[in-house]
Amino acid sequence: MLFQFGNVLVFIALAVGFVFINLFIGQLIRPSVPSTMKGTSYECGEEPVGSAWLNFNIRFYIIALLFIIFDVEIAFMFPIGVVFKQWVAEGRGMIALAEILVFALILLFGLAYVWIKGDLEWVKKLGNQGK
Amino acid sequence: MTILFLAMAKALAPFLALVLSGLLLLIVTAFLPKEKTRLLFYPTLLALAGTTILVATNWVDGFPLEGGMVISDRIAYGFDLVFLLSVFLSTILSRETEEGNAHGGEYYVLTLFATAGMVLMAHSRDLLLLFIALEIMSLSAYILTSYRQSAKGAEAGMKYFVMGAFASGFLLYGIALIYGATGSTDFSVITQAGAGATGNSLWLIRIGVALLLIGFGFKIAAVPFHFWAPDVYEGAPTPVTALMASGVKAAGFVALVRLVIAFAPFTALPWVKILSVLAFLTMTIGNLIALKQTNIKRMLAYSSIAHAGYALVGLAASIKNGQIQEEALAAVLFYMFAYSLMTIGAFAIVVAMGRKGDEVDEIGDYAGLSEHHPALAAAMALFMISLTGIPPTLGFIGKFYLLRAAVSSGLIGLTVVAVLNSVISAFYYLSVVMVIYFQKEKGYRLPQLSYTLLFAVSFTAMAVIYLGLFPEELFQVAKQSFQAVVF
Repeated sequence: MLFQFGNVLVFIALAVGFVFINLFIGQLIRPSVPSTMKGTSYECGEEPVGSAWLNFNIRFYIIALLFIIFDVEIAFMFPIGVVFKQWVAEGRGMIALAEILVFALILLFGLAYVWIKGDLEWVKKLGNQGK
Repeated sequence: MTILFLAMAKALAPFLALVLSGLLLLIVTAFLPKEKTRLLFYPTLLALAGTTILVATNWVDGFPLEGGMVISDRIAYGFDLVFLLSVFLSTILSRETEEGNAHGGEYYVLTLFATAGMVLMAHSRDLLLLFIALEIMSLSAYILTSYRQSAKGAEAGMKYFVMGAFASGFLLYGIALIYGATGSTDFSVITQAGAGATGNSLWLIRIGVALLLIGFGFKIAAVPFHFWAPDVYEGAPTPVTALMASGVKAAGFVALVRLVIAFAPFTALPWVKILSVLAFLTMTIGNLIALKQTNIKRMLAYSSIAHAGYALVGLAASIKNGQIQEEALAAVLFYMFAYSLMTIGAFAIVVAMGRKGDEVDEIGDYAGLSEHHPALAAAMALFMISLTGIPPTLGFIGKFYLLRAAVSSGLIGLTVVAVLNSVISAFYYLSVVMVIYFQKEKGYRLPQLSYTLLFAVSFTAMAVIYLGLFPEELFQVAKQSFQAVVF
């Protein structure tokens, strides 16, 4: 078993070595002519506009969080879907169905909360905030 | 089938009641206008009281239900009572400080979810369920910590979250190693598989258990893992601090109790030595740093670290020659109950001294309390005496049971250290009493007291005295909780 971990170690060593050896060879053979133009960030040939360190709208995070929650829900449901026929044959179908429904229901409560609070609207009305 | 289903429903009823009421209040609070969310105070207390009744009846009926991921023994119900008591009292305190907050209703919802997590932690029979329950509790606690939108609160919440996530990493790694060695996360399967484990797989289990100990050490703020506690306790709203010092700590201890019961008989680790060293460090360092504190919340935070150390003495005493000593574990449960009561009482006074949004945290601000509010001053003195462990208070009795268990397990050295630590702690607890009674006031602000707050203070004060005088029945309850230890 230890020997198989050795294989992994060799792969890691090769991968890390590959990067640094190539960088080192590049350093040896390339000419070094720095200029300000080369120092700018690369935006597909366009002129760069401002810094990349800007504030993103907080809404992106809320939408992303909601997406992840329901993504995980699917990730949990999918394996059950795969074995569900077998479970029904074994007479455990109703329990599994009830359990997954409870799971989905709890998440729906969360969704309802966010919805009522107005957090799903892209432009949130300020007067709505304390609702 | 139906009988089993009914038994299952009865066993799970406390947990289900908490989750359902939490979900219900979540929807209600979304619909309620901001000014009305304070009304959710009453349904929350009702839900907690109802759950307490369910737990108490289940404790009396006392049937250990076999099978599934949930275990319903008296250990779990006994600890449930500690959780519910501390949540109930801290919710009462929150009425004073969180009223008028923009997110009034969510406080109660998160409290209920945190309680559900604690209850599930006590009832889990499976390491993964234990982990998920811990996360339910912790995530709610993180949000509650940064509940008040201030820089200090945000800092405290962030610290708590990062350290908590770090601890969760240890826990998960430990669970993974134990799973790798035994092929299961179920406690009963692990104990069976572990009993026959040898060589490498036994070592995997041992390392896994050590990682689990570290993870729960973070949760109870035992000493090498305590650095987050003072900052978080100081930055959190005072009722949440009270909850963290009582309920969340007790939840960490129920997990440790389960670990000891499940793993101590077969892992052949030097359990007594490990837990003794942990207890020694936790008591001593907690008390020594508490000496220097001028902020009462920080002082109580270090005192809470020290008290976790005392409880760890009981945990160390619970293993004698590889056998579980039920009496020592009962002393741990009793101590958690006792400590929760007295520390919430002390935090209630801290809440009483402050007003909404601005808290009076410095110990020096308590000067002159005895002239303006003799009753409050007397109550604070009582809690401080009880925390020190001077008779005839509950704190003394709790320590007495712990140290008796330690002596009967032959941990004489550790007992001496614990007694010396109580002497050290007397210095900083009694200096608060000194400030209250003997220092001249400077710019005193008369605290306004509401009935709910007065109820919390008088309830904890009376319980501390009454149970200090007549502790026998309560200790019998704790003892009977550990009579039939399964898996």
